[in-house]
Amino acid sequence: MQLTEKHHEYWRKNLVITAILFAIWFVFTFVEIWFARELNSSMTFLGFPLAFYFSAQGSLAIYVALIGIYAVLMKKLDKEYGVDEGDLE
Amino acid sequence: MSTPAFSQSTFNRNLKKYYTFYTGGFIVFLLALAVAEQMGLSRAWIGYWFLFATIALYAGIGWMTRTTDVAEYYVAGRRVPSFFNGMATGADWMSAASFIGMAGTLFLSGYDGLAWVMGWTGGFCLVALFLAPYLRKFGQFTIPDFLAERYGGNIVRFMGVICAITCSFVYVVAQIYGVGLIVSRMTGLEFGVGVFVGLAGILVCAMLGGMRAVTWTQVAQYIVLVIAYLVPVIWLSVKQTHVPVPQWAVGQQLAKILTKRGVKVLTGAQVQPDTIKLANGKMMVAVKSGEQTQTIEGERMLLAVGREGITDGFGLEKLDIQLEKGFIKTDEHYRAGHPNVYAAGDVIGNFLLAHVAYYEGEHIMEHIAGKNPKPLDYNRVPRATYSYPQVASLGLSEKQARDQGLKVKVGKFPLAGNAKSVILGETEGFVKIISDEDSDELVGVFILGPNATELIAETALAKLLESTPFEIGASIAPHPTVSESVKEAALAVDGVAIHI
Repeated sequence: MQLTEKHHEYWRKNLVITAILFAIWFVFTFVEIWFARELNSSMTFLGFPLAFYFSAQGSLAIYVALIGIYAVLMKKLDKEYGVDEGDLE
Repeated sequence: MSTPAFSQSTFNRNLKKYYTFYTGGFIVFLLALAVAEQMGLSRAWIGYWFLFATIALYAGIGWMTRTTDVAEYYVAGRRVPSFFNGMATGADWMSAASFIGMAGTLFLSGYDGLAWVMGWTGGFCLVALFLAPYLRKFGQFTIPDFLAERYGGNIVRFMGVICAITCSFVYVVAQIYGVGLIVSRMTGLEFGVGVFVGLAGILVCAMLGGMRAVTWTQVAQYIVLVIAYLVPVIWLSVKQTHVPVPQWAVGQQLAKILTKRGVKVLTGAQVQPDTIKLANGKMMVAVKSGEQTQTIEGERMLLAVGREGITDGFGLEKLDIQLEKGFIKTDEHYRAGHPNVYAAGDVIGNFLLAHVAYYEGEHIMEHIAGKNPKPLDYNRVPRATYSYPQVASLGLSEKQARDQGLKVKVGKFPLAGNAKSVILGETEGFVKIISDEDSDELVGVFILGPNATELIAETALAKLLESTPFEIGASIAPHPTVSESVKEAALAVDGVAIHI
């Protein structure tokens, strides 16, 4: 299949969405853990040390949100560029 | 479940119908078991029923979804609606390996184990962002197939296969272990047999129906898991807070925990007995310390007013037995002034401790038997307080020793320098060893921290054997244990501790 300019544009947008979401994922996974000691001793959330809270609940909630956001954004992008494969619902 | 002749919407409708029935059926099954339990069905039989139902369910779904079509076998015909796929994936997230593994990891390594929870949960993001959409768009069945198609060639495919097998193997071992554990717990079968019994249903299912069967059993599992997770949470929440949704009462519960942690100590305080009140389920009492009076509120009030030996009512006065401050006066062999009367334990004072009473009792028996036991040096009696953290001591405190005019050397080792204490996450505490400056004799020991009441025993032995801090420090403690800190404290007496 010959890739058109439109396909490339779709791919670029796909990459931007993926990169932004991945960056958020990285911050709440590795950066949070890397600075866990500092975060725990200096900040609290709902009365819990910050890094502890994120490891136990916050980051996991963010993961779910990330997947949701990705699904919605990609659905929109697919429709916009005419590569939607239809829904099974 | 359905044949390809059905349209997608009929398929979806049927799917919802099946699983609604299934959920209802599961709840009825649970209630039936609950009723049977009340009527006296044994636990073993409840286990057998559970196991039988589970295997039957797996095998049934396997049979209903049996297929020879490649697309059906590998990717369930690509027509699993996203919601159901989400449920199946959710069941994977809550699988035996992850759930049992999480409990185990948190138990083993404390909250550091949360990194593992994040790893397996965060992994789903990576799958969603980097793998799943492309696999789907490429129309491939497996990751090695996808890699081969995308990058060309069998080398890539082979590497993909190796990676897939390695990852799955680790996961499947944990899963199978979980299956065996659960089956043996529920039925009392041996672990090895449990593995095979548990796997039997799963195998029938996966062999017959492939991904189709796996997806539908996962959805079925999801429903079971969600119910299994919610019931205890709601139950506990109602018991603790009278609110079925724990999140609504999180503030209330948190306040409870936080006040529990903050223990306030008032010394030299006098309870005002006539101010004790019980109102709205709360105890209130006024306490006077010095000039100030303050009211303390709580759910319960515990009174611990000390102990005394019961010396009344035995007719002791008729036997010429002397009392001193309410305690029976004895000699070093616990003879109570009358040739045939010995006294031991709380009635003679000294330390009002169970192990002291045992020792005194043994001493008396030996003395009666004419074995001439050596009088007890009360400085070698360990004292234990089962508080949190624990406190244990032996001999004289530093202050007592100095007050008696002894010249002492003191070695102190903080538990922050002890590996096991760090592992336990209980680094608040220390071991203190006091010894005589001239003779090096062990004068006293004080331990605050985890297992303090156990650790004091080895210093009691050291005291009996007249060991010096040098000898305690030269002994070898296993690593990692809290007992290393006793040795370190002994070394610290002469300023040669290694880890501070």
